[in-house]
Amino acid sequence: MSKRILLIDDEDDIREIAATSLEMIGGWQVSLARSGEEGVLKAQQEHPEAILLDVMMPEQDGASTLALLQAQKSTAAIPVIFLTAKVQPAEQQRLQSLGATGIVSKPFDPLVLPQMIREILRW
Amino acid sequence: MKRTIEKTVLTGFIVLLTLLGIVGVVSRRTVVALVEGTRLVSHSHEVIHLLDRLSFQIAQSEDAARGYVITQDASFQTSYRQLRDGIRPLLDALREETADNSREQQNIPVLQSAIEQRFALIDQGLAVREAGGIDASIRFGQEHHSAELSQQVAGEIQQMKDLENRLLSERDLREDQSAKRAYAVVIAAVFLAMIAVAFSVMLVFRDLTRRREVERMKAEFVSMVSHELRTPLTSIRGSLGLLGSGLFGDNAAKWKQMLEIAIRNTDRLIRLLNDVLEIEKLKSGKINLQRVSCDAGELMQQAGDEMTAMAQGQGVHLRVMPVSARIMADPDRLLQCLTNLLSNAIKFSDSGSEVILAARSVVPDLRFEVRDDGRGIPRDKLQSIFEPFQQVDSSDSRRRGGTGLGLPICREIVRQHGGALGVESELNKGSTFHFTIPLDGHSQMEKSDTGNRERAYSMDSN
Repeated sequence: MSKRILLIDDEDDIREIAATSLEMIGGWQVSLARSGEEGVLKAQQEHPEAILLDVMMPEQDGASTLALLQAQKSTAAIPVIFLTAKVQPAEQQRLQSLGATGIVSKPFDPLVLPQMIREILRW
Repeated sequence: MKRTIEKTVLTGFIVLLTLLGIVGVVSRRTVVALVEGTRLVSHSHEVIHLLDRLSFQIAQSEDAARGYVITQDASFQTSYRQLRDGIRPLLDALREETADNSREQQNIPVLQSAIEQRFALIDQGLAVREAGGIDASIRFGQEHHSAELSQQVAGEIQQMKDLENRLLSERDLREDQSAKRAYAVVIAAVFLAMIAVAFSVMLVFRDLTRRREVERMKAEFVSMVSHELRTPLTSIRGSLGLLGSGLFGDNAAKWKQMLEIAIRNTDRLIRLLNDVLEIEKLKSGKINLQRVSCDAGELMQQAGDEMTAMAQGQGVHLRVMPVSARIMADPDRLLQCLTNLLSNAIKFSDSGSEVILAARSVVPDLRFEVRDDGRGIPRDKLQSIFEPFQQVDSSDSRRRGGTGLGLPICREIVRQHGGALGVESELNKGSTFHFTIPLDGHSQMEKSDTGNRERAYSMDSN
């Protein structure tokens, strides 16, 4: 059975591209959420094997979404990879310190994205 | 006025140098005055000492003369002569010491004459003693008022001593006053220098804080622009990458979808770049407003015309209530501002709701208002929405074609017109964006006949 990945991003186009990449190249089942709130809800219901989480989102951003996921028993163990357009070293360090499993910078190559995720998660 | 750290430090340095210069000059003057004062005091003491020696030598010579009168011992006579002859060098020394004091110089001949008279009388008395014996000598002295003459000499000397003592106390007083003055000046200068240093340090700190704040804001802006550039680039790079991989085969729908993503995000990039350049130009003053007297009503109608298509597309009723007033404005920029606010209002309005563009006179300005019945703005975002990339809901705004720079650009345009852009809003009830532009002072606002001129732009206005 293929792995299930939850993709949380508020940008419709990026969601579409990443999902296409993960499904068609990675061969995974992808579930989509367009906000942090929706993402936490889906994570609780679907228990995905990994979460790709955008950082800059309105209302509930990536950092607070990650905190919520970590705070809940049912989702605390799910590895989370940040997907971010914040590429400055200080910003990346801050994200790293939040406890995510890895960071993927935007723009990413959709042909390589699944490989990057495999490396981060050692799949 | 731009105050740089360099200017502040330089000003502080100049003030400090000036104060140090004052302290230096005052100190030098004080030291010179003290040295001169000390010299004068020791000079006075020398004069008093000479007068004491003179007085003592005269008394001793009188004693020797008396000894000779009583005993007729030759040694007394020799001693008397030596003491008498020693008087003249003392007088010469006194004259020399008081050369700078005319009053003392006037006293010396008087004293000298009294002394000479006194010794002439003693010499005569001694001759009488030799010729006529002790009684004749005593009588001679009494007849010629010897004692009075002696007192006169002592009186003259005392007078000169008094004069010198008076000078001494005057000098002491002057010295004391000048030392006190110097002390006050030095203390004041040091106090001022401390204030100057404290003030400079405060200004430097304020400058540094301000500079840091500007740098922080610049860094934040660059970071935000970088983020805003990367987001559409991710979509462009991604869609083109997927297309290029041949992954979609002959799936035309996927091809079309990816191409649309690429085109949509390229347009977004162009808008973003244009807006970033625009706000940079506005903020750095590279755009000069061409302010002329123009008709506010015409501009309002023009803005309405431009936004008609968008309003119709969204099913929003756009109502323009033009006023007849002349304002001092750059018409192109004002139009840009009005269409921007209208576009925001339409974007965030539900189909079937109304957006109103109105204006009223708030002398000396004309206040424009763009009202909508949209979702409103949360209280905590009312200020930040005017900052770059601080939309209430950035993704929402992007989906609706915004760059996150529309309101900052509007605010800058209004600010450069000497007006202010603001907003009043209630969640789920709507928002009113308003700004002021100065009325043209030469013309008065006429009460508009909105009934005739009002225009409605909406789905069903066609």
